[in-house]
Amino acid sequence: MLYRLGGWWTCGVIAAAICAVAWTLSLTGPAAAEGALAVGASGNVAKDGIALGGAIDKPTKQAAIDQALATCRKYDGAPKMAALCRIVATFTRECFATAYDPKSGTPGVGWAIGPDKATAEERALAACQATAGASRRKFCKGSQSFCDTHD
Amino acid sequence: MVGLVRGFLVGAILATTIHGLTSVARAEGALALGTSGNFAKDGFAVGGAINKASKQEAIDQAMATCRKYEGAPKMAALCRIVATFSRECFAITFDPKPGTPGVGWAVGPNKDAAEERALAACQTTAGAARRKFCHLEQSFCDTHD
Repeated sequence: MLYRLGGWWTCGVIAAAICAVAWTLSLTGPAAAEGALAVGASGNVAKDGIALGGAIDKPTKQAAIDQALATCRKYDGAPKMAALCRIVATFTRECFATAYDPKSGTPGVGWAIGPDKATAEERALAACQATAGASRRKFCKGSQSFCDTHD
Repeated sequence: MVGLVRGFLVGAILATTIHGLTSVARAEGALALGTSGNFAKDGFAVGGAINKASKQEAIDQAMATCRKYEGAPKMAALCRIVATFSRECFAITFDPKPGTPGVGWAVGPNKDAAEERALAACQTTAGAARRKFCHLEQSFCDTHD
């Protein structure tokens, strides 16, 4: 009988430990960092420009999407493109970067996601330089870059 | 004592050999794109490389493939590297109808993410009427050693 009680006691301790782990996981679960990037474009950047909006460190993917779209839709400078904003990427613990040629009427623009800030910036700049054309390549500059960070 | 020293030496030689092998076998990838900035008018050229021994080798391979890209020879002459990566995936999508602007390329931590991002980029640049015609052209992953 004592042996049996001892067995149940052990079971109780194990169950409590499982509960504690589950509770800890439930606390850390919703705090996962989520990011998203939205772009508004007609397909003719030179003529119509572009709208951009990013979000990082949101508790859910949906919250990141909502924030990126809201920021993109308020983007100054290209209101017609802001109305066309769509999500181009969602990510967790990665970085996003945008780059563009600031002269209006030019096609150079780039956005990218990368495992770290330097990589995202390098890819966004390279995308701008690829689309800007040889004569405007050197005018591409980084617009913004942010990282979705660890919990 | 002699056995211990011998064991230590063998272990050290093994560790050095394994380290040497893994650093040489490191996987590197690159993605090259040739464009005028006007996809609708000029089209584009593209070339990717994965699992190369060095970053330079990946760049050279991606550029060589891009420069041989058929369908847009003028754009193939404009190829430039848009991304280098290690243990990530790349994907390319486009609207196959000539004269349309939809194109997308992306790098991601896995194939699904790269494809999803590239497709979303094409759908964003294709315009509402052509959005549904964006399709995956290719996707490849630079794999672990």
